[in-house]
Amino acid sequence: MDGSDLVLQIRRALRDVTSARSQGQFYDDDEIILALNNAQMLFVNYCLERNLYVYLEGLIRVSDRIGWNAQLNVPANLNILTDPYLHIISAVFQDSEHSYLSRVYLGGEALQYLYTEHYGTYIINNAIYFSRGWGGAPSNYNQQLSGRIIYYTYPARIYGALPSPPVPIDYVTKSFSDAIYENVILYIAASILSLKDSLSQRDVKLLSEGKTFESTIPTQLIYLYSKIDSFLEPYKPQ
Amino acid sequence: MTPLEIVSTVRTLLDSGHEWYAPLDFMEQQIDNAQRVLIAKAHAKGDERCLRPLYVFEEDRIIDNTTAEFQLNTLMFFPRNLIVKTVDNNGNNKFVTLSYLEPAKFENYNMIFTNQPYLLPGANYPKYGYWSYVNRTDANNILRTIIQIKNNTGMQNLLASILYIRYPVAFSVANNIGLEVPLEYHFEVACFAAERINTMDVTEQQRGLYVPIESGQRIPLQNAGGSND
Repeated sequence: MDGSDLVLQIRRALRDVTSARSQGQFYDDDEIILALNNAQMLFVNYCLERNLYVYLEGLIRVSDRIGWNAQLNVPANLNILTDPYLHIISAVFQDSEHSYLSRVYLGGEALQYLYTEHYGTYIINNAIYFSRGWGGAPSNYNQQLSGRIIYYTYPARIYGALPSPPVPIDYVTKSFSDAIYENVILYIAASILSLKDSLSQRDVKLLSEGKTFESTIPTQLIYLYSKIDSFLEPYKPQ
Repeated sequence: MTPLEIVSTVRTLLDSGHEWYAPLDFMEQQIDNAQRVLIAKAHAKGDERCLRPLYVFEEDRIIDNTTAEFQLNTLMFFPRNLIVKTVDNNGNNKFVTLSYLEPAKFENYNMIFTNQPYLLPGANYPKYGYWSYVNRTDANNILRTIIQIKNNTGMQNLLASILYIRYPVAFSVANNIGLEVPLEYHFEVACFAAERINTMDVTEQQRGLYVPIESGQRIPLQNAGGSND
């Protein structure tokens, strides 16, 4: 989506605007855009880990039909969970007669149930398997079964300017409400960027190295400098 | 994020540029290391969403009757599940239960099976199978995961299927190899890499500082190089 107005708002939040007092800008646009995208993904991960699904309603998608290809009599392409897929919500599958609402198992949990009488959808890496618990090899599981999954997709990438060549869908789509963009994601990004402007441990180290360098001046010279200071004391401006 | 964007994020978090500038190969190493720690953490937490892209399922590896070793296609990080089965003449699957043993104990059971030191002649063996795995280098000096199986169940022509989490491919900007954990975890990896680099930087001891301070003496510079001795 178009993030150019967010960039401006972040600059205002961080007081990174050119004025008579401070000339130039501390952050460049690409850095702010990268922080915005990082903040967006951090927010999504936060919501998924804490079951705050109400904020992710804009990311819900329903897949096309997955499964047995009757014409070719082979399983359809199973490796469907590629880039836009973020996380599963639920799955429904059917054979020639019935529909089944199945529980979804991710990764290592899955194989314990493969050989039981249990309706399950199993996700292993990018592959998805529907099973009624027949046993046998998992690659044979989708036989005669087809289904759909409901899942979360990744949010639209935030661009600072129209990318070239243009990506119209990414450019106009907003994945969250404006309130989320402006009150949550924007301030996460501002917090990320402010790490660069605050006094860090590495800054303190730089300062202490400066002091160490000072102490390598010969002690006699430091003694004499302090003497000069005291000699000059009456003549210093009050 | 692309590899370059991850490095840029680490640089922003480190406030890199006005001071010591972490070299790229060092950063790659730390990002790679941070990713492995994140995967280990996700494994400990049971965070399957993070681990999903790293799952490998190798089906129906043929093993012989009693002892078998086979080499996995990629290096295993964590094992998840091992299924061993046999197919009879009617096409029905029969499953074998194998217990996991540590490699050293596995070798010990090997001795029991072959030399039978504890069992009387003609006694019935326990109908068990055992499995284990080791990482060791092959003939081409590449580290491989070897699955070892010891089968005393009396069933033959076994097929082993193993589900495991593999190691991520090493992060590299030059070869455009990004992180393998899902996109929503990339910032966490960048944060952790920045934390590691920061800690290494700020806790570094200054080289050669001990002697002059503790002895109260200075090392004369004209003698330090050795050419004027």
